Amino acid sequence: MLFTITVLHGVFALVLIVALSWTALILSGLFKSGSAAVGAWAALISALLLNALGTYSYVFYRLADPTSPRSIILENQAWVHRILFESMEYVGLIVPIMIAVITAAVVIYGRRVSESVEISGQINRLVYITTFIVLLMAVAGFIPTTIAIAK
Amino acid sequence: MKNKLTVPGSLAAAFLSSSIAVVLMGIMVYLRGGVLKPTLEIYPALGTFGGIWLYSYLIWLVLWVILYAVMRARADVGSLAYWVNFFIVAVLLGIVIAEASFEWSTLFQ
Repeated sequence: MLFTITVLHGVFALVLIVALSWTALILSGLFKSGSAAVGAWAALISALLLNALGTYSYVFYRLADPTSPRSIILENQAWVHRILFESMEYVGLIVPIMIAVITAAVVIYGRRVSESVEISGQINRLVYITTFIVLLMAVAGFIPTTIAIAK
Repeated sequence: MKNKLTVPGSLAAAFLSSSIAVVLMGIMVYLRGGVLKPTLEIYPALGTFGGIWLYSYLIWLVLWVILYAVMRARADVGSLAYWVNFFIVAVLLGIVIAEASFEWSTLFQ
């Protein structure tokens, strides 16, 4: 069960990156077909699911047991938990908020997003920064997981 | 002539509530081992993470609803560039405050 949840957590991280990239391509005009609203909603839903699954698996990650991933990482590479994992854990909470703002902007402006380069450009700045943070958090989460599995 | 990039009150409410929430989240993360520890440990299996997760999202959503009700009638609450910059600064501030509480010294151990 936990393995499945962890794999799904990774899958939704990938879906989130794809959805954000898709939204960025539509907003930048490189993709002429497709809706930025669909991309933003897909990113928001995958971010919320990613968040929920991550919170569930976190319970097992931090068990007060010498064989728990957290204990193994702290014993071998403390900085990986103290900096990388904690960054993913806490900074990762900001991601759904950022995507909700992007979604709100796309939904509220509606058709004007595709008609105005200025509007799509400003929203796309947020999409780029969010994608960059998501990629950093993905790396910050992938390294501890790999170490825990290897040990 | 009306500026094309004006932000309606409904969107400004999203920007403002989210900006406040991310900064408060950063502050909660920073204080998680100190004064806020008893308040944030709402579910022992999650430690202080559970409280940060619950309270920050609750504050965000409640603020959004309140600000939406207050600001939705306004047609123009500043420019989109202003609100995007405002939100980016808030996000960076929240991240820096949170990161400042991490044990960076473990990098050199």
